[in-house]
Amino acid sequence: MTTPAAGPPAATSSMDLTDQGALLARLRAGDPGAFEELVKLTQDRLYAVALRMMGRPEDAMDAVQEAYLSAFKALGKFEGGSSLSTWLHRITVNACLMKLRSRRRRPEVHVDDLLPAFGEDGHQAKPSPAWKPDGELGIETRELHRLVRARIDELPEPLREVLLLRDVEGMNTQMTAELLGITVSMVKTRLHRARMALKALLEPHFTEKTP
Amino acid sequence: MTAHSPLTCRQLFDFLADYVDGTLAPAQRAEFERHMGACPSCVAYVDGYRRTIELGKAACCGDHPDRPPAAPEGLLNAVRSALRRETEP
Repeated sequence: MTTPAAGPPAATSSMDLTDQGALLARLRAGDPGAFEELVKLTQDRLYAVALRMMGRPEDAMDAVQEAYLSAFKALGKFEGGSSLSTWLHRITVNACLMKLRSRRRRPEVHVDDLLPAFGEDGHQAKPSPAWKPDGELGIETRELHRLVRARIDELPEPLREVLLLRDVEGMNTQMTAELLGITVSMVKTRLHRARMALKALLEPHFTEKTP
Repeated sequence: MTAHSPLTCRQLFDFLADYVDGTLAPAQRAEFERHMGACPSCVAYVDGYRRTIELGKAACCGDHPDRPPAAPEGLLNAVRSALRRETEP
């Protein structure tokens, strides 16, 4: 790597590695400028991925840094079956998952207590309250996002991971299953439980308070 | 779900994720919606479930998901330093 002073993120920074073949050849040949070029081209997109998953900028930065380090070490194993950008995305998501698992967290909620209950006739034991429209919440968007993120972080790890990958990152069920080393059926079950638990955690903020 | 037995709330909840993700078969979808037509509690639950998904995404993607923040200026230097530590003997 060359070591000129880092400038601001390039406005043209892009994940669109149109000349992947040439860059990959330089990377494999050990061209010191090639990896830096790869970082410049991909850092904005990978940072955005990490920020979505980690929530905090400092954690996102650490995760991306670790992702690039892992990528650098694994370059020799990259066979070109997927695009460089897909490969880097997956490495970044993995780095985020590792960091999330090691992060000191507040106590997790007991999910079973948050799931809907049913009577013997199969109908809801308690009627579900209607949620107020966003405009009637009396809470600023930024504060609302902070609140929701904090509730997501209270979910048990296996549920939170699936929720982040499926609903936030938009990964499909198959890819999520492969990444987490679980079955497709488990991904579906965990996602549904995660959504129901998160809904129950958010509900007090979105419904009329019972007198 | 069958075409002849009315769906219970519990059965509806089993198919809820597929319903909101749009992957329910048309016949099942019709039955799902038939139950909702007669069950305000399930309508409220499904609405809250959808809003939960939207809120989760919005909370993690920020106010402008189409314009995510650029990587911090220090990232490139941090990667350089990490790689230098890694490759130096």
